[in-house]
Amino acid sequence: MTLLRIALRLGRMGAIATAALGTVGAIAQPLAFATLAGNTPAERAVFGQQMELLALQLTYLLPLPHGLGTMAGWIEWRALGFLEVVVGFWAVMAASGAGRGDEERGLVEHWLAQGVSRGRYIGLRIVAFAALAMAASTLAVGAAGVGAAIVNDGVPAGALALQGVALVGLVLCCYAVALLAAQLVTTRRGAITLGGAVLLILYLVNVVDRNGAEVAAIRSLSPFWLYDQNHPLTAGGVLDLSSTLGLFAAAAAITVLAVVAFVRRDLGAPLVRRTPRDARPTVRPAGNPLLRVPVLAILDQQRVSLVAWTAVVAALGLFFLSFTRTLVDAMLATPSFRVYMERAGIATYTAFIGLSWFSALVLLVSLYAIVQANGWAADDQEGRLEIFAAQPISRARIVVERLAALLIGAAVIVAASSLALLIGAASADISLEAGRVVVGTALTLLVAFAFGGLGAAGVGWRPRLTLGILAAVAIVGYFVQELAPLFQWPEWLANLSVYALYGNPVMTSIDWAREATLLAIGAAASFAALIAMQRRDIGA
Amino acid sequence: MNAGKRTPVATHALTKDYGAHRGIFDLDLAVNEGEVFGFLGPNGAGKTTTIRLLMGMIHPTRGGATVFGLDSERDAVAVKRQVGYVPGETPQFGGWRGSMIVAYVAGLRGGVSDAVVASLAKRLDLDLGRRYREYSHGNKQKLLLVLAFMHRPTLLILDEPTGGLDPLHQQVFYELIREARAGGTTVFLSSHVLSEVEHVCDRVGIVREGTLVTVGTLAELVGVRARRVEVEFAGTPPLARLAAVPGLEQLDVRGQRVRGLLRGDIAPLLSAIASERILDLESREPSLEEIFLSYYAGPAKRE
Repeated sequence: MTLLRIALRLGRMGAIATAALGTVGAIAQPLAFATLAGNTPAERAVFGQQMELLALQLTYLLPLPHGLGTMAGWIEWRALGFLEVVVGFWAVMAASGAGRGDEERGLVEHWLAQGVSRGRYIGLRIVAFAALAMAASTLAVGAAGVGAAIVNDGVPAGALALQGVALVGLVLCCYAVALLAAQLVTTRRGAITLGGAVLLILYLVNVVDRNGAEVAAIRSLSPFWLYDQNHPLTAGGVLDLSSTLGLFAAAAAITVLAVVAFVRRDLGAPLVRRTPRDARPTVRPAGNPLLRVPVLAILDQQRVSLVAWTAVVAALGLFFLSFTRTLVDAMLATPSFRVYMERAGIATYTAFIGLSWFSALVLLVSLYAIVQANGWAADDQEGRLEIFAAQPISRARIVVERLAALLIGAAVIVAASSLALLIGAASADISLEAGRVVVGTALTLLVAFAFGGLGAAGVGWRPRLTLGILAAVAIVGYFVQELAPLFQWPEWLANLSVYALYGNPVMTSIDWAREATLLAIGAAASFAALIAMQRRDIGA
Repeated sequence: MNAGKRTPVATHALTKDYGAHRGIFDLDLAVNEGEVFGFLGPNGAGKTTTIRLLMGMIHPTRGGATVFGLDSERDAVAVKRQVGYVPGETPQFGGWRGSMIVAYVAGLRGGVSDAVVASLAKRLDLDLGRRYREYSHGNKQKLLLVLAFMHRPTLLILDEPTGGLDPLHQQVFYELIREARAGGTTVFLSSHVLSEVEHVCDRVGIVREGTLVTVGTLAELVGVRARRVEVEFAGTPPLARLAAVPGLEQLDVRGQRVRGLLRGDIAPLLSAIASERILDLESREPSLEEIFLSYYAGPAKRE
């Protein structure tokens, strides 16, 4: 029981964050529906039609819509749909922690030395995560039910519970995949990269399927596709039995593989060991000149992850481009849709890309900045900062070099993605306004600067809290940007969102005051970071 | 803070108070140029805290420290230009190769000779081509020694530097220390390994529960301050008279044999036992370990 309690404790932060995110989103959306959709069936039907149009642009984030003119359909699509991404992320972080992170910290070796068997250890970690997953899912679907009840538009509790069952299946399946991936690498960072990459591919398979492309042969491999087949809220209160059983069966089978891999492998080693490629001994320092140049040395250390980020973001940009023409042309060909698109200002390819892709790009840029800030915190906690600070360099230089490396890395990523976008558009004969795309791309660096500055200040103040603080800034910013127009919140409140300050410079005119505010946030936070770094005790 | 321009290390009422009597308190210390100074104490005594204060890693609650007359906080960059440092805990560098870590740190520092690095790595038998996570604990410690020595610093600040080194490479480390001292380098070395301190240190400071309890040369500590005595009586030992002997501590009575640690003059002891029939009397200089333990026998004298 002790180990189970420890496992629950180790997983509590991720579970709390996921449950909080799911609960807030799930309770807010029914309220938004009641405010926006109207009261009569006719009003709701019109609302549903309009929202289904919008939904077609958001298939990268949300499932295909069903019955958006009803509370049940709205909850299924908007309140619970976005949880697929959230639980996928949570599963990767939790599995990489259980499968590698605690091993890196020496905790697993300690527990095994106390006489706990490997099977029991990993089994209890899985049981603990499953318990947390059930709790978080129950809270999220329960919150959606409560939100609907508050506005006297209740949905069947049984249907909600079935949706929760499917959600638990999805979480466990994602966790199993990430846990198995963690057995194949040696570090937590590697586990996050591999597990995240596999789940991202599986997610994209489902997104491609949502957009009507022909992936029928492989789509059932994606747990996200299996989850998407369930519509208990809109399809008469029943689950798609085969897909749900498929989810749980896949979760069980992959979990068993992960357990076997964990039991068989050496601690600290991957399941399959490679013969070292470079076994030639040396007593000389590395000859790579980049390692001796400030800022470039940091980028050189991150070259593999930087290349991966660049490739993945560019590929995602091209992916968005791939359905832009079809979608925009199809909607413009329908008179009622055309009116809507012209009113919304998304009747051109450029504007559509601005709305769909650039909204995702700023999220990715902020995620990149958060990952970097997490690395800065790790430098401190893992003793590297003490080695760097023992050299004749000022603490201010450490902060400035980190921020410079972050901005250069972010610039490489967004520049490559936009270049790929423009080249892809030209080859597909899609007319994009290059000037707007370039400006919109450049302005994403302000988001990176704001998050970087806040991250640097957080690391200087409380390194262990930084990841949570930045994640909260991103999540709150996302929700504020999403909910402010729905609830007609005042402008000052909307402007608390970093993403709202970025706006949509590709689709609409640039609001320089807001962009300047982003710059000011980055500058002020960087200044605070310099002070915090001077004042703090390293390693404390 | 008038410890002298060239005093390699000087502290004045240096205090870091973590609360609950943890930290280091009112440390006044001066390390002379060219000496190897051993900073001795058990785990949690405040050695690492002192070293991290000297390196400017943490800020003092009050008081201050200078390194070659430079303020360790205000002039941190200039101080670190002259210092080679081994931290108390080995950092994590993940998948970096040893050669990359050395190149990166050398880039931050500047003016590091590849030949010196190669010589150090060779002597310590350290393969820089391997990944850091593949290194054993001892090899990680060797890498930290390479980073500390590679720029030929004028002051070495080493926090338990031989942790994890095998006996063979401990000897290499002692050689490096002796060579550095011969070249004029000052060494400030913390340890709880007494044999190590006896091996290489000219002077020793003993710290206990955050307070410096004594400083002296090994000769002073061993020869003057105390000696181990052991007396075997033919009859019952005169315990009352022995207990009254000034400076005689840690009495251990086993049958007719009495052991103790005597600080100061031996004449009162000889007077106390003069009327007894003695079978055996032994008086010898205590080992550093015994001296060290003698400072930990009673409660701390901090207010």
